[in-house]
Amino acid sequence: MTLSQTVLVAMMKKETVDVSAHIEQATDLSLYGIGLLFLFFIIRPELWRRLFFTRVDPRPGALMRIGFGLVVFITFYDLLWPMNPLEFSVAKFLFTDEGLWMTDMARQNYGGQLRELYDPQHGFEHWYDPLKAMWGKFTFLHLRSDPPFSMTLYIVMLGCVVSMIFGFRTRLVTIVAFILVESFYRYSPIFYTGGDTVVRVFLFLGMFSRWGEAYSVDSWLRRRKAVLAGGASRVPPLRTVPAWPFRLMMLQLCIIYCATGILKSGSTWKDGTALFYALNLDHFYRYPMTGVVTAAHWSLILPNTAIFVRWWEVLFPLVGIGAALNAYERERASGEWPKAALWRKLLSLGVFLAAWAMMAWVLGVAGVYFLPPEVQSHVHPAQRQALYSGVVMAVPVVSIALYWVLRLFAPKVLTFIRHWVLGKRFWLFFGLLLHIGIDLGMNVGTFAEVMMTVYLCWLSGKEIESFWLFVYQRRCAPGEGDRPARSPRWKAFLFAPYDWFHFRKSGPRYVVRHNPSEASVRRATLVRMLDLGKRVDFVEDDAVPAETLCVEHQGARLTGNAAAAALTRVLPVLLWLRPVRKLPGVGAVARVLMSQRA
Amino acid sequence: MGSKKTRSEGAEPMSEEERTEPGPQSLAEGLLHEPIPEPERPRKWAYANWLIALISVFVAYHATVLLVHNLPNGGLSKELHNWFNKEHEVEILGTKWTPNLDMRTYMQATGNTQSWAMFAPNPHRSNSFMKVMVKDQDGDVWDMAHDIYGRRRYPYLFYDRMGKINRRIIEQKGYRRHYAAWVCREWERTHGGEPPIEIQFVKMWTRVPPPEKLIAEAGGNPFKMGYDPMELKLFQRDEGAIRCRTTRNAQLPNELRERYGLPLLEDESKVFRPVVHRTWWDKQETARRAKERKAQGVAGQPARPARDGGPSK
Repeated sequence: MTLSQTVLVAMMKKETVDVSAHIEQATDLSLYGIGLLFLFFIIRPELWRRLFFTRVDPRPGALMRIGFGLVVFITFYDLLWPMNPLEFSVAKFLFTDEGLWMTDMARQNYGGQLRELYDPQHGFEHWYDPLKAMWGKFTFLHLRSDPPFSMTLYIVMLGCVVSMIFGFRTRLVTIVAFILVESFYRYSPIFYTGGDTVVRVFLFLGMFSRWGEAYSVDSWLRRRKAVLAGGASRVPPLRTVPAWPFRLMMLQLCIIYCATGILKSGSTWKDGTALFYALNLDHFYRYPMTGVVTAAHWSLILPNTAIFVRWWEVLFPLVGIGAALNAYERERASGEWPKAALWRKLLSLGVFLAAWAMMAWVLGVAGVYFLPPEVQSHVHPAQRQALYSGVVMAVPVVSIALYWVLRLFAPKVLTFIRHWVLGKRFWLFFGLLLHIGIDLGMNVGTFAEVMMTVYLCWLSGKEIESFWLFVYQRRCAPGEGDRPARSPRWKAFLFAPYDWFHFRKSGPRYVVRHNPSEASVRRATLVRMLDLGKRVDFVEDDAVPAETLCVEHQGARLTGNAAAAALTRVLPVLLWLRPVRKLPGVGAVARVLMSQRA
Repeated sequence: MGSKKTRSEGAEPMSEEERTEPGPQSLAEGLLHEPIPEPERPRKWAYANWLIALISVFVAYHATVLLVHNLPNGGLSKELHNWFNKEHEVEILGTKWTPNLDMRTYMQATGNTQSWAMFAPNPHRSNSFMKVMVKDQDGDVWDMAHDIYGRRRYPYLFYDRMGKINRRIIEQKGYRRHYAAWVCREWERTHGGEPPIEIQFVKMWTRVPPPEKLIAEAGGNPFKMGYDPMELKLFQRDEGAIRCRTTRNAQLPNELRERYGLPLLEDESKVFRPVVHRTWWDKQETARRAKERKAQGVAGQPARPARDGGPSK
């Protein structure tokens, strides 16, 4: 355990330690540290601007909107059903006066300022009091929560979430969804899980993000208009979006993992029995598997995983440092990294180190107070604070020095560190495995799902593009293309996941034949805009009637609704229609969704 | 049939026979053949400088309070929390200001209050359940089957919020009164308006055996490891009872009785125990009465006025 982690853990313990001798200095230095960090960005405003106010590809945020929205929808839709011991829906139990809380009692307990500002008989005293009430824990349900009112709001809320998923009037419905979702959460906190907290904090940031600029009805309508009516001569690009809401989401995710890792300070996380106990709790396991869990513990799989998981959580912010370093190296190579005069660079470095020194001092003092005596007994009391502070202070100094040494003398090692040790591919991939594992073994609500969806804010547009290409490609058979035919069999088996992932080929092509007229070309362009997997070719064909969808695939030539039904295989937006494509009318639905006339 | 082929980027290369490149000015070339422009290039800043400055204030504030909020609320960071919640006196150009960063309210108002102590500091090592029982007017005691002990069906697919609430009333005693009030009302609703006497809580728990014990019992044979959760010893402890007659909101008011089609109470004020509020109106009335008393020099007036249709508070 690092010094800082030990200290933070110790500070969270409920035992009262008298820190009054140093609390003032610690507070002052913490504030100076925060101030110096701001000063760092005042000296280097270009870095602040690069960090928060650049424009980024809208696709990761858009995909996150869809995934996150689905999780929010499922979270609340699930509450519409009865659950033992209720004869009626959980939502009615939680959010109406016929359930657990009558309106007045809910307001009394959770209404914040509204308790005083609102009188059930006389209403508000001033016209502006509702505004005052909103700056706190306000919810409409603390004023009225009979089932017709609450459930109407509930349906409107679900409608807004659905609209958010589809990206229709995205900005507006995201704001309304946040207000309504919060209204229900604020009625009473008795049912909260970790997943609900994640929903709340990310939906708040979602209001500021323009996550409707891709994969949305809004974006489709805008681009369709530009193609059909705007006279576009090239496919209109997606509009970039401000980065700052997504950067705050990344910060939030780092805080979630780091905090939860630090708080896992008990003995079970140290001796590795934590997962054994967690997986054997009656309230959580999907199925009682005490035998398998005990065997997994006996075989040391669970103890090692528990210890690793905890450290992975504590150290998760490293992926943020990795993302910053990778952006720096990438943009430095392309000449895009913001330039600064040497004096500003040196001054900002000094300010950063000064801020760190403040934190090192505070952590050093905290170490003296909170580190266990058995750890402290190795150091003379007179040297403790200086030693602890020195160790913390050495971290950035050594890291920066090591970075430049590696950069100069071992760039390949540095590249490995940037891409793997600090890279998204390690941290996020392990996180995915972790959450999938949690979700298979335990039912903790939608925590795992919502955490996985918010990972998307870490990805780039290129990565999303690669994802679609990957999905719509096929694996090469052994010996096909560049894929080696491995032998013996164990080797083929061992490398199978790598080969499956790495050696891919394009799937069978779909050819859209279109009339050469301008209107037909523009209609065909709409199909191209939906072709995220790049599986469609376009061919001018005089024989095809104007503005008619005609698809050629594996020798078959289809037109109209049948052609649209065939495209459900390669166009992600139509994927949900694929299983029912042969039903009457489904082809027509697909065609209309693609805005094809015939 | 004269045909001219174009192709989207990323496709397999066409053969020479197939390739009939359209002219550079062709609409089909631009819309169906040229690469779709990347949204990220060239880089642009998100807003004008003044707007960047404005939003920077919000970003800096949100990021800072987010970090401070997630620091421990005691020890050396206690005063830091206080600093972000109290008013500060500053003087600018001779004018005194009392800015308040108001972290706590900001986090509440924006739904950002958060705690990430999941399975922390340790996961539970015992399974706890709260048995909820109703004692009716005849003195009979009924188990309401609100706990999940031996009742859950597997595989456990859909998250059980009622199970979560059952755990909450074990961990946080403050919830029990409210939960009991609901059970009282619910019993009344389903029993023709007849209230029960009280709600009894019994905590039950089993201890998850430590792994070393299970491994030793199996003699190190992984195929013999494990245990039956229902075979574990069940501990029980009485956690007290809550009376329906005297607990606030533990009776059905006429408003709800009317909705449920139950007989209305003749004198609701004698049966239904409402929540005690002290709103702006109560304060105003208290102040007015005090002023009147002071003006009249009369002592012994009631401290608070009775409300229309409700009991005096």
